[in-house]
Amino acid sequence: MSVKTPNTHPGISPGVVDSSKSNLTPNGSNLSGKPRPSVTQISRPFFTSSELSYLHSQTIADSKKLVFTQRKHQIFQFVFQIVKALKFPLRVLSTSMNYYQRFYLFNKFEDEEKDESTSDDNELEKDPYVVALTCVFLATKNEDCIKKLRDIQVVANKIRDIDETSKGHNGSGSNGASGGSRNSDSLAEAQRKAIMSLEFKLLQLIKFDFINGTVLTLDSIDSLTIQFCKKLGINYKISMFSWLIAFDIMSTPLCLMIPSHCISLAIIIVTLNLKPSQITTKFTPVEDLSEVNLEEILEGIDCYEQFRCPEPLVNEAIIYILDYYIHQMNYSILNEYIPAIDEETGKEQVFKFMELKSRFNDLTKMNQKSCLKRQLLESDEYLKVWDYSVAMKGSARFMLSNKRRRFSEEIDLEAV
Amino acid sequence: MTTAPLKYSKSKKVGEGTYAVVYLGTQISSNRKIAIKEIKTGMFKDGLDMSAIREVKYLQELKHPNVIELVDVFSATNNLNLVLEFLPCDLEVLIKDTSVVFKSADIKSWLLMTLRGIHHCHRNFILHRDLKPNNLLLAPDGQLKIADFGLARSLGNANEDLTSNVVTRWYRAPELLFGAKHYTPAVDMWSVGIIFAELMLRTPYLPGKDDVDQLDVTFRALGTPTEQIWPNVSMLPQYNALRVYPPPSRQELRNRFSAATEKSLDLLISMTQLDPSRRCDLTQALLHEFFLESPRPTEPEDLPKKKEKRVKEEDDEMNKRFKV
Ligand SMILES: Nc1ncnc2c1ncn2[C@@H]1O[C@H](COP(=O)(O)OP(=O)(O)O)[C@@H](O)[C@H]1O
Repeated sequence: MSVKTPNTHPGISPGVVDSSKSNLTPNGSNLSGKPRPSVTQISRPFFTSSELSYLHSQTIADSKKLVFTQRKHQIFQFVFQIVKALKFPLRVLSTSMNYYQRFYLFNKFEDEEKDESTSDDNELEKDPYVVALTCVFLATKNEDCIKKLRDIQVVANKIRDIDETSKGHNGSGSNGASGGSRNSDSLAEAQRKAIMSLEFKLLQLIKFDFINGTVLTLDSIDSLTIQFCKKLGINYKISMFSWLIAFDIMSTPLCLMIPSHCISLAIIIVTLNLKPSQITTKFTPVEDLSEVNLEEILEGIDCYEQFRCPEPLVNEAIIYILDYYIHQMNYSILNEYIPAIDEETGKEQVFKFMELKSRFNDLTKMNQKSCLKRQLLESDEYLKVWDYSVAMKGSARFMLSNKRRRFSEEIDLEAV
Repeated sequence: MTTAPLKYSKSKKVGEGTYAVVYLGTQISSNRKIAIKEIKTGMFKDGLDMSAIREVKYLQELKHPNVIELVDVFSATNNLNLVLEFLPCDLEVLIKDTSVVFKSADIKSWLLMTLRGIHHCHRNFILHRDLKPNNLLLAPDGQLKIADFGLARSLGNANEDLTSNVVTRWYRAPELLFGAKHYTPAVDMWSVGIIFAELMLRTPYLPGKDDVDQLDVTFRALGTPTEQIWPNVSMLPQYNALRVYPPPSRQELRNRFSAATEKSLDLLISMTQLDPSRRCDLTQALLHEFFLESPRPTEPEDLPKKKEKRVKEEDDEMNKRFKV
């Protein structure tokens, strides 16, 4: 048996045990049978940025990078519409977006123009919109906001103006019927079948880890940000500013890199440093009479003592957030709520973020030296495009990373 | 170097639930008996059952001598399998087995282990929401383990509406019977109180025939709640057209629970307060004087066990397997 732990911090970054040559019979019905594929995977809720780009290099062709990003924005809009229409809390949105991004770390992004002649049953499974629906569906289950799949489908298809009753759909997910196909399912039924199949795949990708690297009670970024603001005595206006950042950041891959509580704290630290003075909201805020001293609040924050956030993780998130606005200010939601020109400096808002980043240049971040080498990434079994057939023909075992110690014991046992 | 860390042998089917088939098995490396719960996937219109998701989600988080251990999760031939510790008996079986005598020290021991298990859940912000004797499983060494987390839920999102359609009827707290949308860990405490009563009576304490009857049975035994003893109770959705029963006198309770000591009655009363905010919490229950008075709780290994032929069948089964 080979244990591959590509990271120098085995306790942080669990590896994969490849026992593919072994005669593993977890369901025992085949004690003397022939070897069957098997693999043990320890959930890794978070990846480094180099791991993310390595994974994407396998699933998203260079020529499709732009399409992937554009499609992602459209799809998150679509998911947001579903969440609003069905009155789900925002954590369903947040979890759905996490799942969607995770899905395309391990599955090829295919967004072909549909070709009627090659219609096959798997076509729908490749449709990013159907993938997104699956993500929403599993997110509602994990977040305890259960809704029948049928009800979600009805709302989703209405949003996209799709005729569900069209027969013989080849799974393109596009409008209208395509009569004459061998498939006699209605689109709704074809969609349902694709979602069922995708759900089991998605479950394997999240390694049946429903806690996702945090603890059970940890909320999504938006809600945590507000809770932290309250704890720090931050007023409505400033909290609102933080919340807008949270809303922007929720849809980025940062959620695949850093736990949500560290992101929330980073958002607040960025906000307090920016000292936002102008922000327009739909609601007329209760006037904050108390002149809060932002500086003082900032000074008082103890990442670990108060919020159990390791500082390097918070710093990592701070830099990510600043970079995000430096590059994407014009596409952000925050941008819609602040004046184009900052009143104090007389410059565009983006300069405030750039100035702040220059002040943060020497923050201690995570040391990624150990996982930068391509060779190392390539030898990491976990980062391979996931082979669903293992769980079909053999067995795949899933474990939370905090249960890893027990696993080490098993290896010791085997070594004896 | 080709051995795998995971080896289970599966022998016979031991039970079938709504969404799973349960098999007896052995972890080969340790020769430990385990239960393999094979989740039926792809059978339902809505994919993987919520109960299965909850069971994985919450049991992965909990590890305690009085909570069933989730040993492993794996998928094979496109099924999801949960490997659980094998617990051959449950409290319901013992309660119903009239040939088994319960001493008061035994009841105290089971109650204590139940409370410890639930305390651990609540400390981790998890509500069980389906406590009943049938879900309190017994290990061969006498340890009691809370099982079946298919209805459990995290307390993290406190402001949201919750469904009151939880907990098997006989063990359902009055706030749930009234359809409350916000409730607390006190719903589990109530169930434990009713189980405590059942252990003493050896018969279900509040066996309502249906949801309406459950209200009647509950209040006939414990009195109909009024605004005086439970402020704002009349605002709850299902609070209407109730028959008014007076609360039971201490003497009536003494008569009903003839073997109970005064301290055990105190604890029972505290666990079954109609107003959830007056019900004791897990810490209070665990620190109750009932656990300090004699007799001491029976050591788990000395607790009564079911003298059953099932064990023998199992042994035969195992013998057969290993001879082959
Ligand atoms: N850990 C276990 N050890 C032994 N038997 C078990 C275990 N878990 C479940 N069983 C058996 O399998 C049956 C079905 O279990 P389960 O699927 O949990 O049922 P339910 O749907 O009634 O909750 C139980 O009634 C019990 O007999």
